[in-house]
Amino acid sequence: MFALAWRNIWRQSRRSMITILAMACGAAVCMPMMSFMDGMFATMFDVAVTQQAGHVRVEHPDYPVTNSMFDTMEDAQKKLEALEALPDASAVTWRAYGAGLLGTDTKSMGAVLVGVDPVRESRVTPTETMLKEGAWLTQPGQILLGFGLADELNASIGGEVVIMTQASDGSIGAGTYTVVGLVRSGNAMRDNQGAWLNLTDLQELLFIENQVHELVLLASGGRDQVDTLKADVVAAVDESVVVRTWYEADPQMAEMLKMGQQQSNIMLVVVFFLAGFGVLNTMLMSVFERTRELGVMMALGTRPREVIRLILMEGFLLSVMGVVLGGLLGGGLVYLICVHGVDLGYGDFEMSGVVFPSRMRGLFHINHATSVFVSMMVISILAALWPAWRASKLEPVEAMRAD
Amino acid sequence: MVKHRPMGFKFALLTILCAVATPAFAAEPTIEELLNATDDVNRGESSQSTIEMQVKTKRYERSMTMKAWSRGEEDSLIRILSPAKDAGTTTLKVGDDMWNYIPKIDRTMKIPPGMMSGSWMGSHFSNDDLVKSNRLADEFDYKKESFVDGVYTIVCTAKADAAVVWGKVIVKVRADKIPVEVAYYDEDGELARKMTFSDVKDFDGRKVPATMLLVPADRPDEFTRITTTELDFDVQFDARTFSLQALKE
Repeated sequence: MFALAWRNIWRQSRRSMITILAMACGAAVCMPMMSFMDGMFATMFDVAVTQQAGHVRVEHPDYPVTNSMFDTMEDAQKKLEALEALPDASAVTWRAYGAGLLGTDTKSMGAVLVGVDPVRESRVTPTETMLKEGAWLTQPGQILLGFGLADELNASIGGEVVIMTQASDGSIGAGTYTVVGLVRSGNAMRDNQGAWLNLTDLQELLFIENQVHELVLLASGGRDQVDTLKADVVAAVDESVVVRTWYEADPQMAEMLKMGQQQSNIMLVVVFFLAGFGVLNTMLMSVFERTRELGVMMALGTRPREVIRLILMEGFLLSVMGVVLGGLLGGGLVYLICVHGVDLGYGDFEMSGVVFPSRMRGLFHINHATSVFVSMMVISILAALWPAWRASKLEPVEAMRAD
Repeated sequence: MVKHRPMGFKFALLTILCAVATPAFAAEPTIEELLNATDDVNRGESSQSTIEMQVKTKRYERSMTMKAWSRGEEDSLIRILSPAKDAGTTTLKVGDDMWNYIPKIDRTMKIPPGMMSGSWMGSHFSNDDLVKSNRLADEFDYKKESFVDGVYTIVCTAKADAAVVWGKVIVKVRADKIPVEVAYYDEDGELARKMTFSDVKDFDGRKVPATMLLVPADRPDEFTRITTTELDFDVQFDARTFSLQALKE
């Protein structure tokens, strides 16, 4: 049966080749496309969620709206300890925020001050990817500047900057800090206005000792486990704070990621349908051409069920060949996208506050290959069903009379 | 559109720092004269004063004493004397520019344009209030509404093309050109803040309201009160009084 199907395919080798190539091209386009788009979504997720929102976040109920320095949490230390004990949390950190005037000898600018706990923060934020130059914070008196802000101020690593701000008691808070690194976070606003310093330094500057604005957690199970983690966190903290998942905190980003996913799904469906119609066309044609031959086979005692199996086998073989060829082509392209990236030629570009590097890298995931393979094969077999059914319904006598 | 606040702190401070040399029983003043007297009293005058500023907000309450020097409406220098934590912190204003000197870190920082709307020294006044020098009579259409018990009530409505924050300002000023109250309304006609003057005293031979109280309309429990304790006019300044070097002294 297999041999027969194989031979049948190559009887019209040009037509079969074209079908195989069409499927291969479909797969070869789909795989890199999925890889590329996932790479883009991963960048967005990383900038918006991993670096900022966290999977789950805890804040003073008013803070998300007011962003006021005064809306800090009570008993932050106790809460932090309780959250660090949660088995579902892989990392926990705390942060305080402020705004101030940041200056060098020659220039000054308004800056967003982010107070981070260097050790805990580095477990939550991928510091190596966030740092453009220099080193992460290690001790008090150090500061990291967004590279845009540093440019604007003519500040460089090793230099000193001054912060002047309004402290929580109404007095003027001021301090001098040494620049140890430049940050390229991917968030345009932060890269141009952000300054990261030790949590304790910021607390002292703002006169908010032992107070923080947010606790941020990552789920040990990854982003699919945020709801479980949220439930744990809610149980672990009191009611003086509000607990939100990243998608509750940043519904716009969540919506965008969802929309992007849908778009790529729609694209996949279109490509698959094209492949499916290719198979359908090929099989219909070959059944039609072989009416007489099939009639002879059935007259000689081949049962309709066997005819169906033969035609399906042919469709299946076509799709296997298409998928293998497509997998090789697509895999090669995915490799290039992941390792070398794609230069879109715009330079760095910004989309909803996220700065993408001009050379975008794809993301490899085995799902890209398997989903393409499985759906192509399923579609091909489905597409072969109708011709197969038609063939099985042939009346041998009638069929043998056909030309 | 660049928005700025006419007649803010500057006006108030100047009103206090440099009083109007007006005879008590002059001929009836025109409305324009009254408005100019209110925000333009000290042109060409020099003064030196000691003031107390008391700030009460929902979050904090603080009280400071300051020494201030001013020359015309262009230049001023204000230094904090107490509390000890902020002592020596000095603001220099020259024209539309402003610098703060912080002794703790021995640095002078220029306030960038984006931060001019921020609070000055934790008070209800913004940096802009100190710097901007618009005049009511120029930016607003004005009309006398009443004259009761020696106090004029003048309604000023922003001119269509005026780049000002306030939609309407209602000025109450005495016939002897001493202001009583200035109420600021936003563009929707809502009261935004109200400044009242009281405690008229004689300083260096001139009558000046020694106390000025600013209350934001949406937070009636909060206020900034400025009280003048000493005030001298016609002070001689040398060229470097209003310079960046002077900030550190």
